[in-house]
Amino acid sequence: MKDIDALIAVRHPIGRASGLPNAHYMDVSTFAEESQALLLGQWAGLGVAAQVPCPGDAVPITFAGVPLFLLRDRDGDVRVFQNVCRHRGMILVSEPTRIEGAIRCPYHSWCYSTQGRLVATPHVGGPGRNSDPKLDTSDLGLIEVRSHIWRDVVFVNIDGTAPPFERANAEVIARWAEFDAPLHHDGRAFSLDIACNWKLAVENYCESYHLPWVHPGLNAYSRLEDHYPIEGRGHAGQGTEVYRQLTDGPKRFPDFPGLAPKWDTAAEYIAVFPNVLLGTHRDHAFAIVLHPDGPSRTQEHIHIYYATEQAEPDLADRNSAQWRGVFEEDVFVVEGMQKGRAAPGFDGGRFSPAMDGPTHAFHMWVAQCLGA
Amino acid sequence: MPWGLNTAQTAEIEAGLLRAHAHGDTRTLVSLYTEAATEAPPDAAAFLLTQAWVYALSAGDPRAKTLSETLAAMGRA
Repeated sequence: MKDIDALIAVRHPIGRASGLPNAHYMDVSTFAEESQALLLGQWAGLGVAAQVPCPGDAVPITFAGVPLFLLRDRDGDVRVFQNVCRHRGMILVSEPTRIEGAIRCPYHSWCYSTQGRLVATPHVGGPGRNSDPKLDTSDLGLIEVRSHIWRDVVFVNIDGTAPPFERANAEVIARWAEFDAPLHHDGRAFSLDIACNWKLAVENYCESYHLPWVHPGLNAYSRLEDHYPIEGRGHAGQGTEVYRQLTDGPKRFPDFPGLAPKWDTAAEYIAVFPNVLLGTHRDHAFAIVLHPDGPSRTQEHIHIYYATEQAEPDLADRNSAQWRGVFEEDVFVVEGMQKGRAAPGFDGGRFSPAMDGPTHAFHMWVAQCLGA
Repeated sequence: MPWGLNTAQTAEIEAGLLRAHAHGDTRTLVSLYTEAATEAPPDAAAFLLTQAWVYALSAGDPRAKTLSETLAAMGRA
C-alpha cells in the first residue's frame, strides 16, 4: 500500500526529493493501485494503428489486466473494445485475426458488428427463435473504450475519466507540431521482454545522464553535453543537438516535410506518461509502447516509422538493428535497478539536480496521480 | 428424419457439417445448413437457417441478408 509520506518526499524540490519507494516496483497491491491510477485512469498507450492495417483486422491485447481488442472497423476507423461478450462474458477475440463479417462469440455465437453493435442472438428465444420479448438487447453492444490516435499510437483511457487527449497532452502535441505528418510503419516491429517494473523503463528513457556509460556508441558522436532535458505537463525526456543520419553512399531516408533548420541536426526522445516512449528525427521516428505485466515484468513493443511508404530496405534494416542494439543496451540497467529494489535499505534514491530532472518529473507525476 | 431428408441425405450432410466445422469452413457450413433446412419442418428449418445465417454473418457472406429475411418472414428474426 502507498506510503503517503514517501510520496510527499518525492514531490520535494529535486535536491531534497526521494525517488519512489521499493514497494512501487515490487509490491502486488501497490502495482494494482498504480494500475488503476496511472494506467486505467490516464491516456495510456495500447498499441499502434499499424497493427490493424485493413478493415476487420483485430488484435487482442490484455492491458493492465483488462482484456481488450484493437480493431479497424468496416469504415476504416480504429476502435478499442473490451474483449468480452455481453452474454456470458466469454473472450471474443483470442488471437490476431481478420474479421470478414461480424465478430462471433465462440460460445453461443452472439454476433457484433465491427462498430460494436449486437447484430445476432441466435436461438436466444429457444431453438430457431432469435429474439426474446423478455430480453432487451438494445443496449448490449460491445463496450467501447475511449481511444485516440496520435503519432500512430493508439492511446486509451479505460476508466473514461481522463480529460480529452488533446487537452491532457496539449504541450507535447504543440512541441512536436512540426512533425504532424503521415508516419509510415516500416513493418519491422520488435519486442523485448524485460524483468523490471514498467516505470524503470520510463525513468531510464527520460534521461541522458547514462548515455556515456551505457551507450558509448551513441555517445561517440552525440556527447552528454549535446543533450538537453525536456519537462512538461504529462511528459519528460531529452533532446540532442547532434543527430547524424544513417547513410549508404548517396542513400538516406527522406525527411519529414517542412521542418525547421534546427531539426537538421536535432532529435528528441520523450516519454509521454504513463507508458509511451517516443523518438523523432528529421527522417524517422519510433514509438515504444510499454505493457506492464505484473510488478516486475514489462514488454516493450517497438515500432519504427519513416516519412515515406517505402523506406530504403537496407538502410531500414540497419536503422532497426541499430535501435534494437541501443534498447538492448538498456536492459541490464533496468533489470539491475529492479533487482536493487529488493534491498530493504534503499529509500527510493536521490536525483542529480543537474541531470535527473526528467526522471524526477516522472516520479512527481506518479506521486501526484496517487494523491500526494 | 429430423431434417425432412432421407437417411442417406441426412448422413451425407451431417458428415459434411462435421468436416466443415473441423476445418472452420464457414462458407460450406452456410451451404450445408441451408440445404438441410430445405425440406425440414418449420421449427427444424428455423434452427438450421439460424445456424446458416450466423455463419454467413461471421464470414461476411452475402447470403446472410437473404437468410435474415427468410427468418424474419418465418417470424424468427
